Amino acid sequence: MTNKNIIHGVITEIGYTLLFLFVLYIINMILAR
Amino acid sequence: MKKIIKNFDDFKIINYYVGYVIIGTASLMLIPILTSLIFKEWSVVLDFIISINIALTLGIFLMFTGKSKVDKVKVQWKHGLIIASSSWLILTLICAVPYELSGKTGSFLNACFDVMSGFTTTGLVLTQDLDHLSLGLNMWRHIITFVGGQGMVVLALSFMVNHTLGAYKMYVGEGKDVELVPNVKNTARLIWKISIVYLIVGTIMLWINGMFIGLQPVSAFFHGLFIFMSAWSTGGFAPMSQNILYYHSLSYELLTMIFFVIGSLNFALHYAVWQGSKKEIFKNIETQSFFITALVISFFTALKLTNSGVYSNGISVFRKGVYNVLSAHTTTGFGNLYARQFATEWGDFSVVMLIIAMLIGGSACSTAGGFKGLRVGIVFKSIIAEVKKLLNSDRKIKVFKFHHIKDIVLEDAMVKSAYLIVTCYIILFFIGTAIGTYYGYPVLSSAFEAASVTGNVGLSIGVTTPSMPTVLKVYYIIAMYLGRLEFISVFALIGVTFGGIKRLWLKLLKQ
Repeated sequence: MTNKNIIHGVITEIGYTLLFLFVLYIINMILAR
Repeated sequence: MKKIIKNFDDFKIINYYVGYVIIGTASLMLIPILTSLIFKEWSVVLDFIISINIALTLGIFLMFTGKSKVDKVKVQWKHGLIIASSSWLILTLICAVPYELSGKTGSFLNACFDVMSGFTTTGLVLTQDLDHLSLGLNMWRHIITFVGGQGMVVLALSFMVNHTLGAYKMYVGEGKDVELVPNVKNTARLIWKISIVYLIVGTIMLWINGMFIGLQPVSAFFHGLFIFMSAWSTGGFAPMSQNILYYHSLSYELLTMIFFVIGSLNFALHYAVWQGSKKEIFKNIETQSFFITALVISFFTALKLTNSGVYSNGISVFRKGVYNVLSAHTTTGFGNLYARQFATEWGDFSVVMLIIAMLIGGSACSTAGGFKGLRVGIVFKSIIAEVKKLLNSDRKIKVFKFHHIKDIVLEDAMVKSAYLIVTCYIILFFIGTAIGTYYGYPVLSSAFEAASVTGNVGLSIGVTTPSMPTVLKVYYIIAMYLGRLEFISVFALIGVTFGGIKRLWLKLLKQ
């Protein structure tokens, strides 16, 4: 496992988690309307 | 006579490895010693020097008693399970010594409660006056939760040079069963590599963010380090008594959410993604299960909180509602509300949603607790498989599969094991609820706290206080311990202990 793999892996995991949180945020904003 | 000698050999081999794990974990006390030396906390240095001496003396003694048998006796399953379960118990007692010497815990039982809460990554606290705790003890609290998340046996295995033949049995005894690579020692090292990489990334991000929200650079660093260690281990400890509410910061809440969600994922999934298999995130049964349950529970909680007018706008519902649901679901236990607000403001429905989230928990082979997304997925798949079998003709034999790193055939043994563990968790939860109600707490509050200790979460509705009944404290310690080690290794320890007592009793009767 190279350093490049690790950086890609970390960015991917953080990115997908942010996307998941964004989905939850959007649902909240729709519910609150 | 032969049997007695054999039992003695078992005892020696267990002693050797328990001593090894104790020395490995006790060595970590050097970090708070160094921290306290730098910040001139002389009394704390003394507390830790006393504690490390006790730990090393016991560890060396245990290793010494078993040294003669380590090359001669093969580590069996019973040894591995008992080594893991007894190490956790002994380490809880040893690691509680600095707490007790600090004078902040009130009693040694409270100190043991906090240590077990740390090791099991629960996050419930009985230590008083957290806001004025020394930096050294704060460092120790968070090291305990960080190491507990990965596992003390995993830590010991990482440094193991020889005798790795029985390592897998000890690894399984600690509630982990997935090998990232064929060798257990290398798997343990990989788990630590993943955690350390995130420790560096997470601490730097929280440090910078801490300075932006007005903390002094040194203070921001320690807050960032402590909060990251807790978030990654899905622990829930924080340096301040108000927990995450202390920071009053959306960015801090967002960062902690990212890290505790990632921390609740399976180490095998991290490894697969780091190897370049990004699709694994979508295909894996655990992430699918987590995504669906987190989405459904967040949706209904937010709907209820919005409709009942608890929070006035969407951002408030997200910051308070979704944050606490995800904190419960990943079994972290970070909270940005006062404990009693769950009971007085959220209402029964939202509290029930949190209880369900806490019981489900995170991923298997992660730092999270609960009965795990993998088992929820297996139970769900088994129900679908049974329905399909009923609908199809009897002559057809259909193989049902699920994806977890690789395609796995859904076997009866796997389904049985999943149901067994889920049943054990539910029994533990109901007993906890019953004991809570016996001592006069309302049913919902008792159930909330019981789910929190069973799932190793750490959110509190106000039951866990230094003044709660001793029986409840002891039961919560047992529930945290059983929940974290997933029953089997603790049952092995109980079985061997009672078996030994029974044999001794029969022997005495014969005489």
